[in-house]
Amino acid sequence: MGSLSCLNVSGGDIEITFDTQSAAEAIRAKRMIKDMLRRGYALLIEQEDGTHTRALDFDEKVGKYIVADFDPTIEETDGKQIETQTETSEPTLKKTSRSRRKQIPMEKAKTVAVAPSAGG
Amino acid sequence: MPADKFDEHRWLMDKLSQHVNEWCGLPIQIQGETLILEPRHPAAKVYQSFAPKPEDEGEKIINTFYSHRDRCDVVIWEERDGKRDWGRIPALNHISHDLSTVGCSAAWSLEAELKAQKTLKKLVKPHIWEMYMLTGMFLETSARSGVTYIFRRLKPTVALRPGKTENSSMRILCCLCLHPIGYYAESWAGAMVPTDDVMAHLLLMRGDEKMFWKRANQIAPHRPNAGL
Repeated sequence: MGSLSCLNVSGGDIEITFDTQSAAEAIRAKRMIKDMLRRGYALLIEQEDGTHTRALDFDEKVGKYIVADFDPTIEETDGKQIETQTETSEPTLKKTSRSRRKQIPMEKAKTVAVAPSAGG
Repeated sequence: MPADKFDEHRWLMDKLSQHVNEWCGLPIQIQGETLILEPRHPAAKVYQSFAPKPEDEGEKIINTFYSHRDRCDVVIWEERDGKRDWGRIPALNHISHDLSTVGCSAAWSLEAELKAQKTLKKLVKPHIWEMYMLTGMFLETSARSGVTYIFRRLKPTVALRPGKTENSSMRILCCLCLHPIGYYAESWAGAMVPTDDVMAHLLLMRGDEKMFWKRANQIAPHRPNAGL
């Protein structure tokens, strides 16, 4: 069973669950996911191995998240670059395996939606 | 019966957010505080109109910048007669941020905070959860970049890397400040409850670390608003 939580201001976090058995819930969830991505929300999916990844897109027809396919346990930071960077730069990641994509069925994904950030 | 005067206000905003179809809800405007919303939020312009207007004292601020030499903000202003002058804004501690944050706590409900804590509990290991409940912070190291993060309630996340040698201590890269939807200016309070902010930092770090760094404000560790 898949779930979609959204960090919410006033009423506290909202969560909906859905599976392939209930078509109505799945349609509602698909609409929510598409709308959230359109509004710039970050949809963060917990994968089977416990790691998280951000949804790049969503295929509404088949109900699958499209995510970048990389191994999150692989060290991608260049050690030398990070040592020389200033305190206002971000960790430098190697440009490898960026173009590969994989799909995660929505009914198998635990997703948390984070609204666009206003900085701080 | 509302528990406090903001309870009813929060309830109304919750109902209103369902009408405007905003998944993350509508933040609470607090009198005297400036709420800065993400510009794409459908109600951003409405909230902007609520912001307190600066009093016209005749002087016009020309520029403000941070002086690394003096470790404070420097302000340049123009007086009514056209004469320009400058001054330093001393910033030795973060007590003003602390006090503003206490004031902004009226925007949050305890119920929402408890819900957020329940969600966070599912995302971290039991000993990490206990650490968070006891100290208000916890550590996690990114498998991708090797950067260690200290996620803190109501304070920016601290990014650390080990020193060059084995015996050297951790080096602070910077403090990362980020609030989904919006935040109250000159405070550490976000529009969402504190644990939701912590969760947003944690999930963005885990799911897309590069985007986390891009979206967050990167604050030098010696500045008071870094909260160190």
